[in-house]
Amino acid sequence: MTEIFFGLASLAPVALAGCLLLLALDWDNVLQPLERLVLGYAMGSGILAWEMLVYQAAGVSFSALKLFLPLLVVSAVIFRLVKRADLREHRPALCRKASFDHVEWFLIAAIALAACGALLRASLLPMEAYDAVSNWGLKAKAIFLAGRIPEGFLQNPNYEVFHPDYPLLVPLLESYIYSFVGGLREGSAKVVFPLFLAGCCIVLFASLTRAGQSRRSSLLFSFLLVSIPYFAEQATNGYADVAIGFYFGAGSLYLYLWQTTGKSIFLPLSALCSGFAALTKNEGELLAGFHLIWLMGVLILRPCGSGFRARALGLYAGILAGILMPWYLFKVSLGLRNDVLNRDVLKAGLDWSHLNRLGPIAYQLQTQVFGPKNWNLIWIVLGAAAIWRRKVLFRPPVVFMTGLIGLTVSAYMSVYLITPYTIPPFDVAWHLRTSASRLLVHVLPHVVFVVGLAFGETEDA
Amino acid sequence: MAESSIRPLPKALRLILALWLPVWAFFLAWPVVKDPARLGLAWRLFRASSEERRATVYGEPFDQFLRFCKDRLPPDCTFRLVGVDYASIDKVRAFYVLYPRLVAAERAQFVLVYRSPGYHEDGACPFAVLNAGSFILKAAAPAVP
Repeated sequence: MTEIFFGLASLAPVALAGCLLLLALDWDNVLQPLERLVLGYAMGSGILAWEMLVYQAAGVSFSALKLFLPLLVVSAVIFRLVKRADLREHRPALCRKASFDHVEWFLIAAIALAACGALLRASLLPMEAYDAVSNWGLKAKAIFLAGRIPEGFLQNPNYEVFHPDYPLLVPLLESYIYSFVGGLREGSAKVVFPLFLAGCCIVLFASLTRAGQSRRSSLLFSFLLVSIPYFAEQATNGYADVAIGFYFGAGSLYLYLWQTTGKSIFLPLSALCSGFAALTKNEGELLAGFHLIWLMGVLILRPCGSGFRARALGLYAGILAGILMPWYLFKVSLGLRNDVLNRDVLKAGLDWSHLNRLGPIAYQLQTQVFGPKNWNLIWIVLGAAAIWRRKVLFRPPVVFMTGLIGLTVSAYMSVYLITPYTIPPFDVAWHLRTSASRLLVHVLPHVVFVVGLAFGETEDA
Repeated sequence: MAESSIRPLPKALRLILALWLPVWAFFLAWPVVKDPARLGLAWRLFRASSEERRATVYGEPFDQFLRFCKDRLPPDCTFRLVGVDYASIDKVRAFYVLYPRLVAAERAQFVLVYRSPGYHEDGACPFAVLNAGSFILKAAAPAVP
């Protein structure tokens, strides 16, 4: 419990800074209080990582005080400058609703149980899973001990197999917690992951209610998401997939809400989430690109002026560029490149003979569908939705979300077709076994969202 | 009374819940039913220190070896592992725990030998011994890290 307390205490100032910035951004008070809190945590974490990259470029060493104090001061100043007279004028709709019925209480209790269980499990176990130690944990430890990002470590050829080119949001966040608590308290650092799980659940709930689902239905699908065993497990083992799942999921959901409601807050929110997804894992760059394509598709189809189109696209691309610039400059300065996808890999990998990998890929995908132990029944329910509720899934506006799911899964699986890793034990089958399931976590919030829209209960039913 | 409380759940939602809840509950409870000792382990982990938790998860012998190496090796040295499978999770755990001591594929200052009785290398002498199979060798002409 001490580990959890220290973890939450170290993240409190970061979340507060994020909340203040969101309050400043949310002129119409659109965000619900709990949603603002989890978004504040996620935005604060992303901005903290960005700040550390800027410090690195400026040659400033890291310490907890040097990191969270400027963040708090700047966010408080921005909040004071742009805050409206009274934020309580427009309370969110949720506050005016009737009390919860017994089904809703059951669902709330089940969600709380699953989230608290993940928090406890994460803090009880040390860093022990493969990537949690070799990739994220090792980098976090190196950053904490050096008080900066140790460039020599990232360029050390003996550690090349641990992906030195991977973005550093998670290791930077973990190292900040180590700095705050004054030691390598792994249980405290691992608190970040279940918080992203809770964030996924709350953002999904808020998005479903905004998309016209009843409160009960939104709670039910939020429960479905949090009760998927593989998803909950990924929130406890120190892997970064739940974090990118949150950022990519929230980025997509807010883009969908901007498209359907037109409320201006959702566009920058989506861009921020998308940018932080790209700062979390290399896959995030691809996912941010998908969001840009989606946005361009909406802007082309929507009857609006060219000025509006330019502003929306400029805002989105500008936020992405602003977030990613310090990381790219740092990466280029070290000469790091993506070891899974680069020009040489593409040149060597575009070979017809690689099509024989389609068999193992298809086998791996079917194990997901028929794996209720890991996924409960989510892929089967999605299949049912694609058949019986195809009018919902394959027509605007939901088709954008359905298309994004299809595009993401196809892109991820096609990487296995060109990957250069062919020597046992690290061959394609090994990579599929150890990573394909994790990659599917990235689209899980999207899947539950479209399933919710397909089978859920609308507010006016 | 709230409007939602008097409305029955739509058929599709009832069907999903009816299928989902038993699957969820089953896979939540099954590991404990299959192996009730897991509850005891969870309780032990809950009460344990972070060192004890690591020993439980990494396995007592390997954790003991890592702690032995950590205590004996200077923090700015280079090392190489022998007796730990290249593809195993133990290898990456060792890299993690022993950092800032750095791995060196060639000309490492120290060779960490795990469960390999009788292992020897030309030009390396015993530096510290945990037991007959696990020990540290020091290279005679160490490289500069």
